[in-house]
Amino acid sequence: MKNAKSEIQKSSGLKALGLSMVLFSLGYSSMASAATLETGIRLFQRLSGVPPTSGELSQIEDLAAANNLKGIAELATNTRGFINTTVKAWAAPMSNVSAQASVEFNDFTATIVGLVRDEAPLDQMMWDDVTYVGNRANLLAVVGNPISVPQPAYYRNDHWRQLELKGVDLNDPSLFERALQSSLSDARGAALLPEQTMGVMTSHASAEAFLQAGTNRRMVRFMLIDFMCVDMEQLHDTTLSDFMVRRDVPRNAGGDSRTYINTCAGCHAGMDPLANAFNLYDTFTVVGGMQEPLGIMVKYDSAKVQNIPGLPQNKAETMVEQANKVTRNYQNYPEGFRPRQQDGNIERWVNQWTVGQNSFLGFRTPAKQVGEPDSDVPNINMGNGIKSLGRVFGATTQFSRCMAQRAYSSVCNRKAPYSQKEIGLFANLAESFDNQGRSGKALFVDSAVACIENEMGE
Amino acid sequence: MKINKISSISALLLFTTVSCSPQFVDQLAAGDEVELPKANVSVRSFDQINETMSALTGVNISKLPARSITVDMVTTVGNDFIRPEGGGLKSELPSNNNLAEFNASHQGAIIRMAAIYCNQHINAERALGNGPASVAALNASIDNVVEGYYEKFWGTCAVKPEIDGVKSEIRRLLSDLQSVQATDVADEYLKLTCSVFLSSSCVTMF
Repeated sequence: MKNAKSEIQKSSGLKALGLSMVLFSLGYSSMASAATLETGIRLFQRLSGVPPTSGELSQIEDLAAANNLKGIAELATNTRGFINTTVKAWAAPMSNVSAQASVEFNDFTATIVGLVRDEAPLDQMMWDDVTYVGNRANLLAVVGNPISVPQPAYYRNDHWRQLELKGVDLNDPSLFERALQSSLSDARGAALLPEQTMGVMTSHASAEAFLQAGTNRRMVRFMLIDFMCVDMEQLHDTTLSDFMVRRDVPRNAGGDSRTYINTCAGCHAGMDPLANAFNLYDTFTVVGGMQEPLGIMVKYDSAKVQNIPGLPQNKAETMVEQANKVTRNYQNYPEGFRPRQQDGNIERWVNQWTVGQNSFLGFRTPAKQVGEPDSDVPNINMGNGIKSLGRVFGATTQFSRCMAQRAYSSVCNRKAPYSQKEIGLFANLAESFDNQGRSGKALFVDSAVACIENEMGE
Repeated sequence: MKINKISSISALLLFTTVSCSPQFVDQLAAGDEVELPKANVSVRSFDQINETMSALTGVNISKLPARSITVDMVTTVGNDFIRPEGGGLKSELPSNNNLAEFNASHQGAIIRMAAIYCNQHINAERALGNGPASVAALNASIDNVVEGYYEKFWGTCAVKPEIDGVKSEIRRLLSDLQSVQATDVADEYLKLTCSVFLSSSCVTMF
């Protein structure tokens, strides 16, 4: 009997697979003849990720008849599917080194999703004291047991993982809300201060992906990849001064200093002065009562470069510096740049890309925040600390172009290489993005419409 | 092996029938910009498939149990591993909308996911006293069942297969199954029929 049942199950499984695949191939046999309503439905689904309901279908029909593609796109962005599927999948690849969309939901992704939903200026993800968490009190009605969604903590991802596992509607502000990143605590009750945060770059997910180990240059590289859509190779410029290249970069690799001058310095001369802003950041492993590791978090610790009490001045400094990830391997070139607290340059960053070939990034003075004195608005050439660095890069025209390119690629299923026409589209979308308060939702609407119009014109 | 062959042939059919306009190198003049072939069809990603199947079947994502056990395609009731905990289906389903990255193993995972949703869906319907209660009743009303799913799951599909062809295929599938199955398992046949509709390109692509 068991064998017979197993046979049936196997047989039915095979047949279902076979029939499904036949219907699968039948479904798109004559896709070339697209009607206006079909175009409207396709536009809607590219944003919402789900088929329209009968009510939405009726609205799409009316809007399509009026050739109101933007209206259809706006209708789609008001569905729960837009935030829960399209935007979530759009943001997730930015949260990890391998740019995978199938990673678990985390605070990095949550912050971007929330900012898009709330139509907040998207560049806030690069500098603001912001995160998004589930409202545990209201989650009770959805998940039944609030204990199953733990408190958001800065050193572990359990909270955000459970939001995904429980299928919490991220489009519902009563369930998923904005919070201060500095309000998240580690096991000791201490986390970053507001001025030490840098949006998603100081999130727990970022700590795991970009800050752990290494020399903190990875933070700069992925800030550029994620938000500027450029990698270091594209910014390689050997004309820049290498006055802030750290001591761990050998100046005569293989006994030939030309390698450093023609290759290494091209990236390090621009990158190291920016990575300097992250000097006091590291990851910290939080342990439980049995000393078991619970997770890691971003740690800002100025004690790292301060003298240890009770030790001679010179010895203390050496010991601390050798333990510091940004000063390791200083023997490679001891005359290289040496960030020190006493020199006042421990968190100073210098931007050498405002002129020359990399000025295409389009640096602009960041917008003044409410109540902010003019003297506190970051300078595009240099600053102190990561927050001002994030604000300067978030204000660039390249950030807007990058977001436009990412949104267009997402809703249009396009990847590089882009056509000249599409590159022109990105510039227009970026300008519109800037003019609409850098709203991610408006950018998605414009990108989806531009894509459909581009396809219709082909 | 049989599954692989079917999947490969179907995938080939898909790629050859999706509209695109390739330019041939010998038609290009110097300086011409090469337009890469583009498909206007997208495949839904994991979350989109999850949301879509939830919306179509009425099964609430939040109410699904999150167990990470192996699911028997047709007969297991109340267990699923749709969500990512414990190496669930998330990693097996498409991670983005790019049709060029879609492959046969994705379709296999989609069928499993459809089976999970249909399992919950049919159980819920049965609890309300809906649907044919026996195989004989199912056979008698199979056209109505097919028409119901055709309208409900494929209502907004851009290009649908002819319904008569679908009815014929479903009848043949059920007939083959009934020829080797002695007991009365109307629910399982219903779940299977539901899964066939729910896992088709009309649902998983747009």
